[in-house]
Order: sequence, then C-alpha cells, then structure tokens
Amino acid sequence: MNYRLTKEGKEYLKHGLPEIQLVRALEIKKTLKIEEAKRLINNFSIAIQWAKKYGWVDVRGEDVVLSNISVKSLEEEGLHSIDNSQDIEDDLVKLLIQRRLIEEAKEDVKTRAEKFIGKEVGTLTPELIGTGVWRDVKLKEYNVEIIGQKLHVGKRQPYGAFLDWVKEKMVGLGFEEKQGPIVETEFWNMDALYMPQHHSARDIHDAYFVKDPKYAKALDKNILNAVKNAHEKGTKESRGWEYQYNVQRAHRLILRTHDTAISPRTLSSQNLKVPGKYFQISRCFRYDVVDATHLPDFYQMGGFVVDKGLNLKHLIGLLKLFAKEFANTDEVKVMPSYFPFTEPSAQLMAKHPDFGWLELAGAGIFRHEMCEPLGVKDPVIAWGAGLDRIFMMSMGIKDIRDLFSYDLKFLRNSKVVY
Amino acid sequence: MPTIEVNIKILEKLSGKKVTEGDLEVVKGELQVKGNKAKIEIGDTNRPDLWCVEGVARVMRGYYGKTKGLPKMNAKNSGKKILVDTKLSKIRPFIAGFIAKDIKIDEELLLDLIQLQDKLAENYGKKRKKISVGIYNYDRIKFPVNYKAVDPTKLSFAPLDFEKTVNLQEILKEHPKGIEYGYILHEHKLYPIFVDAKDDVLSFPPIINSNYIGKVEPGSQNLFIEVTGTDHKAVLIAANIFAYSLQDRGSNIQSVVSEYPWKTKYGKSVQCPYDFKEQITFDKTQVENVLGIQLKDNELINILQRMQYDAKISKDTVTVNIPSYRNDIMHSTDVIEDIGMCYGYENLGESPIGSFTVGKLKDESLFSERSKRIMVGLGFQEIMSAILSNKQNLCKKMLLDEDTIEIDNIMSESYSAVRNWVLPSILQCLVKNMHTEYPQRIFEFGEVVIRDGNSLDHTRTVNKLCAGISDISIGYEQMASYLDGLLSSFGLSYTLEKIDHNSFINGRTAKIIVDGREIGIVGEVHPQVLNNFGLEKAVVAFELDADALFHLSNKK
Repeated sequence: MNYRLTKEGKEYLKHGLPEIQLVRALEIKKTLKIEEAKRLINNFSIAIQWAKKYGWVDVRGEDVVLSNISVKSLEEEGLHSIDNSQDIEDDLVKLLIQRRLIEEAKEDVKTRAEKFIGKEVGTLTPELIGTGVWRDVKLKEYNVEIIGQKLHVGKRQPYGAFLDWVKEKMVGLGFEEKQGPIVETEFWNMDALYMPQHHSARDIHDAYFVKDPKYAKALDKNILNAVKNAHEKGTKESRGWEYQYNVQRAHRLILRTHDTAISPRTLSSQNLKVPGKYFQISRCFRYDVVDATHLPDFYQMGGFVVDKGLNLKHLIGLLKLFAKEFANTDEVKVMPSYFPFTEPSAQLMAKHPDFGWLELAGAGIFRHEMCEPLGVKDPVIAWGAGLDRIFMMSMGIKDIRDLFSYDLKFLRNSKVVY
Repeated sequence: MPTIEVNIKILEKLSGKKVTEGDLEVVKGELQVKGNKAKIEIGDTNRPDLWCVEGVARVMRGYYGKTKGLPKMNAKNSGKKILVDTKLSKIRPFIAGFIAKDIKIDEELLLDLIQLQDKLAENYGKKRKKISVGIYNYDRIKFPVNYKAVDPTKLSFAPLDFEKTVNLQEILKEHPKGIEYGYILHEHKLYPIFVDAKDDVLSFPPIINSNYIGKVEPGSQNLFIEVTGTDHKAVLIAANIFAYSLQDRGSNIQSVVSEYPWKTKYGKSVQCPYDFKEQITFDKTQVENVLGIQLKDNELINILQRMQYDAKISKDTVTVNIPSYRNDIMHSTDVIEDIGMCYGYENLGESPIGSFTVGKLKDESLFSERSKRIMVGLGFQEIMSAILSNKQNLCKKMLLDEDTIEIDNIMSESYSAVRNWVLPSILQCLVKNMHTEYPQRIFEFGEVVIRDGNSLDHTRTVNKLCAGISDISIGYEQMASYLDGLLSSFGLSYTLEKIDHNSFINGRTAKIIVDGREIGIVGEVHPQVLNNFGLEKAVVAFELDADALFHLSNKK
C-alpha cells in the first residue's frame, strides 16, 4: 500500500509538528505563560496534548515548562520517510493516519484505472467502478449465447424430494404423520392386524427374520391378550381364526414388511383422536430376489381415517382423491381385493398410457376383529400404497434399482420436479 | 397369491358364459389369456374353494343368475367307512374321504384335479403339514379302509413312480416326495399309513400314493378322494371343495364315514362331504353401515342368492346359510363384502370425508427437511441407499469388529445385515463414481438400526446424517468447515475432541460434542479402508446422530 502526506502533514513537515514547535520555544525560554504559548504556536491544543502525552512538558498553574530535554519525534521521522517513499512500521502508519497526517495514495488507484481509458475492458474491476473511469472505457461485449459451464450444485435426491412432497401433500389433506421401527415384532407387523400365525395370508408377507436376538423382551400384556383371544376365539360378533395362538411367536423380531405395521400402534395409542387422519411413509422389507421390479427394501405410504359413520363409499372417495392428487389421473377404478385385515377390501387401479391398468393402492375397512382388541369402536378406513411405482411412473423410470441410484452423473443432471 | 391355470373352454362350459377380464372381479381374480389356456390369479388367500376352475365357474354361474342360492351337495351315502387308528391322535389324526362315481377321467380333468390337490396341500395345507390330499382309483379298493399308525421300518410298498418295494423310512430318504415332505414326520416314531381291507396300501400320507391303488390315469371312471391332516375343520373343508368340484364336473358323489375311536369336534362318526350347516345373522342396517347403500329386502335376498347364499330376512334380521366349502366367513362383514362385490364397487358411488382434522408432520420429519436443505446449501448432492447391507461392507472393510443386526433367512449375502451406520453407503457410492468429475460432495440422511439394551425390541431405529467429500486434494479442515456450517446453522455450539477410530486416520479424527454429549464423528477415512473399497482418492467425512441433533437443537 502506498501512502502520501496530507496537507496538514506537509505543513508540519515544513514547519515542524505542533508539539515540536512548543518544545523548541521552551528550549529558548524554559517557561511560557499559557496565553503566551497560544500566541506563539498555531495549534496549541494539539501541541500541548501530544507533548504532555509524551512527557516532554508539564503544566504548572498558568505556566508550561519543559520537563525533558532529549526530545525525539517518531511522527516527524515517519513524515520524512513517507515523503521519501520509504516504508515505515505499521504502528506508525496507524498513528499517522489517526492524526490525519498521511493517507492512502489514491492517485495510484486512479492512475492505474486511467491506463484503461479509451480501451476495451473485460473485467469490471472495483478500481474502474470506484474512480468512475468505467465511463471512459469500452466494456467488451461477450458471446452471451454460449451455454454456461456445468456446475455441480447441491441437490436433493429426486426420490427423496418426491417423498417429502408426498408428506406435504398428506399434511395438506389433513393427515398427521406417524413413524415406527424398522426392526418390528411379528405381533405389530401381523398379529395385531388379525393376520393368523399359520395362514397362507402370511405368505404374501414373507419376512426377513432377525438372527440375534430372535425375540422382543415384552409386549403390552393387555393388547397381546386381547389380540390372542380374537385370533383363538373371536369376539362376540366373530368366530375368530380358531387356532392355538403362539405367544412366543408374537415376540419374534422381523424387519417390517409393510407400512401398515405402524397403524395398530397408532390405533391402540392413548392419543388416538376421533375423528382422526393418520399416515406413515416407511421403509419396508420383503424376502424377494432383487431385480428390475424388486428392491430389498422399498417405500410404502399408508394410513387410515377413523370416524363415526365411515363406510366403503368414503373409502372409495378417498382413494379417488389420492389418485388425482398423487398420480394426477382421473382414469381410475376401485375394485374388490383381499387383505386379511380388511373387510371389505379394495384396490385402487389407475390407467397408465403405456402399461395399462396398474394397482396404486390396497385398501379396505379394518376388520372388526382387528379393531376391537386395540380398543377402537369406530370404523377405520385404511390404505397402503407402494410409492416406488407412482414415482417411477411420474419420472419415466423403468428399472426400480434407479430409485437408489449411485450414479452421480445421473443425480447431478436429474431434473428437479419435486 | 394362488395362481391357477384353466382351460378357457372348460371355464366357459362350466360357467355357461363367454368369459372376459371383468367377469373375474367377483372372485377377486385377474385373468391372463394365452390361447386356449388362461391363468387366473386369485387374490383371496382365504378362499381355497376358488383355487380351481369349478370354483370360479360356480361363482360366475350364481352372479350371472344361472343358479340361485346355496349350491346343493347331492351325495348318496355309500355305506363305506374309513377306520381311524387311535395311535394317530398325536400324529395326523383327521381324515375325510368320499367317492366320485361315473366320471370320465381325461387328461384335462386329471390336470385340473392334480392342480387343485397341489394348491390345497401346498397353500391351504401349509406344504402338506396341515392337510394333504390323496386321489385313488376307487375300483381297486376293498372297503373298509384303515387309516393307521405303523412302525416305519415294518411296512413296505411300492410308492408312485417306484417299481421296487421300500419301507416308509426308506421312502423319506429315497423318494423325491419323501425328501421334500419328510420334515412333517421326522419327530414321530410311528408314521400314518392308509390301507384297504386286503391290507393293500393306498398311500403313505402326507408323502406319497402307492403305485397301484394310488395311480390314477385317464380312462378311470370312479375315484376315491381323501384328505388327511392336523386341523379337522380344514380337512373337511378341503374334502368338501373337492367333492363340489367333482360334482360340478358331472360326477355322482357318494359319502364315506370316518369312524374315530375318540370323540372329535364333529363327533365319532363324521360323514364326508360334511355339511357344516353354518349360519350367520346380522342386522340389516349393517349393510348400510358398511357399504353406505340402502337395499330393499328383495334386492338384498336376490344379491345374496346370486352370491351362492341362502338367505331370509325377518324383522330386519338377515339370516344367511353359508356353503360348506367356504373357509372365510367369520363375521357378518365377510358376507356384506360379497353383497358389495355383487352390487359392484363402481356402482356404490363415493362420499367425501366430512370431518376436519389438522394435518402435521412429525417434528423429526421437519428437522430432516431442514438438515437436507442446509446440506444442499453447502453444495452436497443427496443420495439414498438400501438399508439392507452386509457385514463385509458395514464392518470388515471399515476395519471394525462391530455387532450389526443380521438376518436369519438371507436371500443373498449382499443383503444379509441391517446397516448400523451410513458411511459405508457413502463409500459404496463414491466407488461407483471414480470416473465422474471431482470433487464429489455427497450426503445421506437416512435410517439405521442399532442395538439398544433399553428397548423392548433390543434395537432402535435411528436417523443418521452422513456427508463425505472425495477429491485429489482434500483434508480434515475442509470437512470441519462444512461441519461448522451445518452445526452453526442449527445454532449449536460444539467442541471437537481427538479420538482414535479404526475407520479413520489417527490424528485426523475427532468426536463431535454438544452439551457434553457425543453426537458424531468427523475425520479423514483411513487409507486401508479406501483400499478395501477400491477407492483411489482421499475421503473426508462426518456422520452425526440426527435424532440427538434434533433434540439438542430443539432445546435451544
């Protein structure tokens, strides 16, 4: 950085700094009346301030007296050096700037900027802007039609963004989110849904079993007993499955096979609200070979509405609303289906331009034998949907393995849709 | 889901109508036609009566008004008996059989019978454990037949497809069916055997028929069908399903009585086909409660009859007689669903849900969205991974000797353990991108499962946030800066404390501490780990317990 003397600095260099002038005067007369000194020295207040600070003079009543005879001014040396374009200590620079005796050599900046006058300039520098020289240069025209260089910006994973979009939609429809554990007991995953322990209905839920430990420590005794009774003997209204329920098997730890595993936990909770709307998005696991249509783990979104007076027509209305909101299609139909925990059961089908009718969701009214042991008296309409397929349809993805793609090129170039 | 293969012509002949895709809605079936044959996927795993062409056709006949009400079983009593050995009571106690006369067995029918036999035994019968079915050439049997328990080494016969005579123990070792289904008998000292009055073997249930009586070929005219099992009701239902099917194919059914030395739920002498005489009653308003439609009494009766029920209504109470081949009617709703299907779901209309509820996300979800937003702002690409992984990637390659949650019944080694941290996923992603432009900054916010002695399930599902950068020249300070960017965005003050961790370089690894609680790790990945994954460029990473982070940032 270059510095130069201010007007004041130049004057002091020529005539001496005020405090030095005071000292010189006192060297001759030893003592001066303050009034007299004021007349002799131009900037007396500055002079007395600094001379006192440096311990050169003293004020005794009306008099100013010299108290030190060997006076050496750093400021004076500094001014000399700057005048001769020599570098000085940073502390001294600070002091001189503070005393407004030197300043940055602005002319340098200007001279530099002025070199560009009349010329064609690429980068619009701070110098050009600050000095106003930009007015006198020609700002070069660029080829603005060249496509910008690729940037690798931070981005959401497309499927992850979609899942968050689904959540927001569900909230918009008045649903409250629920979550549950990945390692789950057979009890919550199946038994509490009135799926009998030794029944082909469980075949469609071929589960991954945990190796160690195999069993949960405990289950809620009251709910366990109520569920056991419903399986074995039924209820007042139902004959039940009529078999011997295995309590230990209920404790068997598995990986959650479907999102609906979370529903009985919500239904049996003290905090269940009626009317209430609940949903969950969860990672599920099935014993399947991994290929273009099967992943070892996948996402499902399901939930339920509980309220007095709900019936199959409400469920059909809800499913059609979902089709419109999530798959953006009116071309849907609701057909009979089978799930061990719903009766009646239904499935939502939507017409895809390429693949024809596809199942979007399974649904139904939770069975009486399921709800009663969980302490729920009002009808519950429920659904569960594989989100993978809906997302693949909307993005034109053919291979399900691309949902969890590790291809950074693909991810970096992916379109932001959700 | 059970899938059956049927001959379209037979389906059309039995149902009395041309079959189109939509017709199968009423059996929850999906039809795929291939020439003469069709595959029907039956959605209802609780209706074994539909797992055959006759069952499907029976529903269609009713639905299209060609028959009305409960299908009748016109079985004459044959006066023949099956005598059950008391020693079977702890092995495979129940048996039911009937005779199907005057039926011309051709290839087509034989295939259909074998298919039904197979579906019932495999699926409804839980791989023959609960029930299994035997089909015999009736004309070769001398009644009464004995169902008894014998020492497996003391009785020999020639099983199907075997010329030589072998004993029961040898069958379990040598015959393919013995090898497949022997597991059902291994725990028992005596095995069930089914012999006629001359002591000729019919079969060795539930393993294999004999090569003589148990061999049914085209041209046979009279069959004897038998079901054995451990669940009496299931045995009777399966036998009923068979009897109704053969009756629908034109056979004259004759009943056979099983004589038990003990009193079963259905008595000491149990006739087959068995009439359960099951009834269910419900209030008429139930129909409206479930389906949301009002039906006049005659409409309701008509619909029930089309769905093969007999029904009557008195003073708003509906009484329904249930066919003896149905396994699924436990509650009035099961009948009401049939009413809905017959009426047509598409004809029901729809109602809006009127109640107002407040929608909301879990706070954890909102936190996850915030975290991802910050990470994206810091220039990181989000990735997502499978949660199933394997010990090799999770521990061994990471130079750890940790305990992960492993799977008992693995399908493939690649998916044999549940991940307990995310960094291995990040490294696996990076290794797939060694020819992609660097620097690579990626992150994943996802679930893992860790052991937790305090949890009833011994485990806990935890959200983790893991980020990694790979580049030719990258170091600890850079990752520490990104970490600071994240944590200060959450308004958290934290300290870093040097630690040693096998997966990271010593002296370039720190644990992250907030409010005295360790919430994660940041460091340079150990070059041996990079070698193990086949990575050639340095990786710096941090991994945080996002749930802990959420609670701490919420406290502030």
